[in-house]
Amino acid sequence: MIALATMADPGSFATGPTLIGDWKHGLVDNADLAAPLAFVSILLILLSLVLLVVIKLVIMKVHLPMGRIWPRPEKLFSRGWFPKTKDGLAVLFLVLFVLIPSFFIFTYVVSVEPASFDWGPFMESLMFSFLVAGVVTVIDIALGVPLALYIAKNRTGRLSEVLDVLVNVPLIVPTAALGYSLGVFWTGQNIIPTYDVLLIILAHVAFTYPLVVRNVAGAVEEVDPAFEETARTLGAKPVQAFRRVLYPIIKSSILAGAIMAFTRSLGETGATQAVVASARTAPVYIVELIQLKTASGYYTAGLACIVLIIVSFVFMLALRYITNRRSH
Amino acid sequence: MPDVKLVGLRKSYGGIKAADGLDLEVKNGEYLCVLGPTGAGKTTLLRMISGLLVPDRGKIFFNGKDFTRMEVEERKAALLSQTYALFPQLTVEENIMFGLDIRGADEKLKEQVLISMLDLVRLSGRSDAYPRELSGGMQQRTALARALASGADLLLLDEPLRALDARLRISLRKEIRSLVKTLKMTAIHVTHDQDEALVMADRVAVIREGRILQIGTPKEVWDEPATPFVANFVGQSNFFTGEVLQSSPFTLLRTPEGTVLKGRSSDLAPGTTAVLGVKIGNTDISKERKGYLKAKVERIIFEGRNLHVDLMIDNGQRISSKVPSWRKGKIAPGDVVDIYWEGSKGTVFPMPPNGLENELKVE
Repeated sequence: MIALATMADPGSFATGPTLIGDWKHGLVDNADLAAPLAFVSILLILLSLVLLVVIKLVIMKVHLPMGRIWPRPEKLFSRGWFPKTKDGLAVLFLVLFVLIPSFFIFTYVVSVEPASFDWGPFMESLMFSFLVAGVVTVIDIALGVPLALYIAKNRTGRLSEVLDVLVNVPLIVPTAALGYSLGVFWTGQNIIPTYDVLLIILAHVAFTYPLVVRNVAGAVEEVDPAFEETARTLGAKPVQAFRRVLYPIIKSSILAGAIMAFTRSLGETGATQAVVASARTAPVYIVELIQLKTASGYYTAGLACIVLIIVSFVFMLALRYITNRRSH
Repeated sequence: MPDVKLVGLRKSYGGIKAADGLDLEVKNGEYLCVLGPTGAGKTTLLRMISGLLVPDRGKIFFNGKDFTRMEVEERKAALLSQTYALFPQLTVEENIMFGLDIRGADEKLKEQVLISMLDLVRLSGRSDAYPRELSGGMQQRTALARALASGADLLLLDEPLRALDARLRISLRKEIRSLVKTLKMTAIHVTHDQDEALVMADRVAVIREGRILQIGTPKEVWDEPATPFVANFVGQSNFFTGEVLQSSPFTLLRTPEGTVLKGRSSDLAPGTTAVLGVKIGNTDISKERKGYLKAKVERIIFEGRNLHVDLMIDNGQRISSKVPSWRKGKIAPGDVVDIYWEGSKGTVFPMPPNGLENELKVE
């Protein structure tokens, strides 16, 4: 998403992920870019891993002075003007820096002279994105839930601890670097045919899968093991105990994880481009429109953005609805 | 209706032995209470019988068949846990029907069982309620009905009354026992509450540090404790050490101060060091009658029905006595009283190998 936001700015500024995207495009005519491309990817992956380890260590070793008690300031901050100001600023920030800029596109599209808009390619790319996101989500659930169950139920085991950390890696590594690495890996082997769609799906699974695992593992850990154990003593086979007892309790978490994975896949630009330069998912299409630097391009991009925003918003509402039901 | 037999069960977690050679035999249709302090291995015992835990060593037999590694769901041993573990997304009715549902029982049977179960546990009006809408007692009864309706022969109860208030607990004791008896099930009930065990059980097994110390009827465990620990854990005792003078028809014990104390007959050889235990409820105090010892009243605690009297004997040892409340006013702190008990109420034990204090410790 950062890559998308940065690339949407038509200036020449480049972050690591956008650089990968651009060079991957250039790779078609200029094979010399392969080496620096790999280098940047490796750099990004290494940096993120180092960051992950450092953060882990810092959290474990360094004790923030939260244990100390400061009676006077804490009293001051608990009552009167401070909480009100804090709440006010928080809301103001949300509106000013997040909501207004996000929805500004509506006013832009309305105010600008309408240009001819060819819905065809955009709808095509949108359908493609939905297809990819849908397949990715199904794979995530099918593979993620079993791993989450394993991690949550073997908390004392060393292996589950290691898996728990490793599963975060795709979330930490910039998706563009991850995408490039995946692209190199999958095209380098000769066992599975490398269709573009397949590559994109594989890449998207890699970085959305942890979202499902995280959500579900967290939910399973919250559930008292006595539920499943009691079900077993009442005559339920392990599968029945899961389906009849545990599944209904964690269902909303599985759905929440699935929706997060779906929207993440829908919005991903950097990784998609890094895997297959010519891929035409909706966000990639929007970036391409902007890179045309024409009035009609901007206008079309604006409309496309609105559709994406609406779709994402609908999913957010669905997520809210589902997670609210959890308390029932 | 199984009889359950455990032979030499062992289970340890790291260095802690939760089961250290457990032997236990439960008869068909029996209500057995396993009584012991926290950390004695009670829950481990129950989990091994239910199959949720595999013992490191030893065997479990149901009806003479080796069930040690039988799958949990094949054992027909329903567990009623401390937290009830009612399935939150199912109604009372669906919870109770869980066991029959997953076996695919036919509708007619299910309906019959449901009606009789709801009736038995007095929840007929609440069958559509969700567990969170029920009071603690109702939740308890729903969990019980679910276990009873599952078609299990053996009921495993893990401190089932722990989370309830005192009055409810007492009324549910009778209720659970009579339900189990009506349905002719075998029950193994684990508790740390001696009153609960004595009231509910056909037989009581006292467990400590992963071993069964004594198994017997509530009366046997109360009146003829096998070890000083049992004497103290089931109804608190006073202990006196001394040298055995004779062991039949009464055991006579001479304390280091030269006082001679009396207890039931034993098989201890004269001359050995022994411990005499007397329940505090059997330790009588009197100002008129001559007793074995003299003691000074230190304090008196009013407990409603009884008075708990703390006393100090001449040699500095502290003992206690429980006397009926009507005697309040006749004794006061500072009084010197005589200590007396019936010879048949004193039990004599050989001196525990690691000392009396360690023996009595409840961790």
